[in-house]
Amino acid sequence: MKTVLDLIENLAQVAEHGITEHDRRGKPKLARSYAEVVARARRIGAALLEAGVAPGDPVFLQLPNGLQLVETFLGAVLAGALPCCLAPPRALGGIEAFQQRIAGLFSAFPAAHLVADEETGEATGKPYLLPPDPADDAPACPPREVDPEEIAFLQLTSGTTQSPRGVRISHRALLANMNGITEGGRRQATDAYVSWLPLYHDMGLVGLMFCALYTQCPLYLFRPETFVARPLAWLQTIAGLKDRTVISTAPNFAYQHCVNALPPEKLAGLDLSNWRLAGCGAERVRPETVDAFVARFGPHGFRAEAFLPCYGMAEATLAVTFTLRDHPPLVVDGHVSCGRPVLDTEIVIRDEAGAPVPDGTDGQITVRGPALCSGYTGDATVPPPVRDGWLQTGDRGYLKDGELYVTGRYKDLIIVEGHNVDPDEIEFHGDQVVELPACRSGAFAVDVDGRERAVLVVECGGKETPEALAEWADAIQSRVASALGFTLYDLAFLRRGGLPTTSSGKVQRGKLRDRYLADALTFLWQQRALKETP
Amino acid sequence: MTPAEEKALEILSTVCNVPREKLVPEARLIQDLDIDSVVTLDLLMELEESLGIDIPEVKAAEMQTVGDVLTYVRENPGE
Repeated sequence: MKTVLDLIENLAQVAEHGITEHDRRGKPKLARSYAEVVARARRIGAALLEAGVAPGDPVFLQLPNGLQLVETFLGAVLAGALPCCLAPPRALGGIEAFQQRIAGLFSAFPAAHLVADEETGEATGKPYLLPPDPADDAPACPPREVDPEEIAFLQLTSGTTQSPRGVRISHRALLANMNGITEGGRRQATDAYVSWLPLYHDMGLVGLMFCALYTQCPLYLFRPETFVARPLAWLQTIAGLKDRTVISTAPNFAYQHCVNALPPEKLAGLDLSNWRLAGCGAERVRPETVDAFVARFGPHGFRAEAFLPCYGMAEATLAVTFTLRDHPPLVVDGHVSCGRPVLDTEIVIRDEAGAPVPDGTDGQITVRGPALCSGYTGDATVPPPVRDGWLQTGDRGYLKDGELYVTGRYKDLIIVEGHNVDPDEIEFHGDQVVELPACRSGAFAVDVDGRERAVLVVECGGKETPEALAEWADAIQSRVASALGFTLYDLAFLRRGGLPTTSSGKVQRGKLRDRYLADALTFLWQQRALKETP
Repeated sequence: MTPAEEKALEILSTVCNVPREKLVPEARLIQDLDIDSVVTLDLLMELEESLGIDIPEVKAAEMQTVGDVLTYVRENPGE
């Protein structure tokens, strides 16, 4: 198996397993065998070509987690186009931000096509294709040869609305990563995958959906909102698959959410002993969460050794480390071990000059291996992520006895509930509201009760009244809420020139964060302080 | 106020943990009521289940205020 087309070809023979999709309330809605999924994907591929999609064109898929999305994704790969799943508009006020995001995508990728249902498609104000639903006797996509180095799909990574950034993933990289993940997870014929992770997230797309297809195991696909609103449904689905061993992965916040939302009295009768692999990645894995989850669900059959903290990123297709073990996760100095690198992948920790550092020393995590991406597309302003064969992750960590411990981040990135947010995306709103010459803003992440949250510090003229600053703050919070779906943990103003900058005038977000945490900034107005005053 | 709007207010108050008197039509859900993404999704699911309605993604994204929610449930009666 060298390409996704080989994977699809093999899957066409599988009639005994397939995909079951669930509605928003978590009820099984539709099930198809893999053989049927492939047959439909082939017809959808032909329909996409017929609709004017050309090989190499990006095809953005704005569809909910379900069979239609999987089939359209595979159909686009068969057609030689570059599928890329998109996040939906955010509930409660996200419509404008969604329209801007789609407009940004079309200007960055002029050859792109958008596939969406009618309601969503109309709301974008852009041309769109309805998801093809060809009849059973419709023609199938003609077979074609592909080189494993050819790009199979795109994953959108942080970037901003104005400069969206796609990670290019080759057939070779995807196959190598699926092999690494399933080997590291000690694949078994009895496995079933349960996923509520969105397919626009690398962990949902590669780690669960594609790994299920690769191993030809059953896949139970849920909507993310079902899990968030009803976390017990996730655990009950896993527990209900009595004759299977279950693989289900989620970011740290999800495990914490289960602990917070599900007190012991709600868990009567729950038996999680068949949950073989509970991956935890996409954001920092917190020892408190691991302990709390094991303490709450251990009495319900959850085995601590099933907990598999891992590390990865879209630029490495997905997983960099992924090792199932016979013991509970290791915790050293408050950091959870993310395990060993996946097959054929190397990690080297480097100092600022790029030289490897000794075991146990903190530095930048760099990665080499067959699953690295083929670079970015779209945003031309960022340096290529892979240099001389090594992925510069921008993350900080150390290796000890061959295991990776992630300790922090060099890159400026804010991760809210498993989703990467570029600080630019937040600062943009500060700049748009204040609109004074030479006033800048800086956004960074802080830890609040075990969760990562965003803080924005904005420069102002210095003579504004507190009332005027409060009004600006309200306007900024409002814009951030509708664009990103969360509010800033804190928002503060300081006098023009108060932000630490480099000699070229770039805001030093790391330094700003350090000073903020050390209480070493003189604010003219600060939201958090006001909120905390009774 | 229709029974559906009454019910929606009750759900808003319970799920968002906000007293009824703060649920004025112009109150913005994320910003003024300070609800996060978990509460947002819980709220939508509760509204759908209790009122027997379906709130499509785009409609949910257009709602910003308490008033928007009430308008939607008034104009889209359930089963």
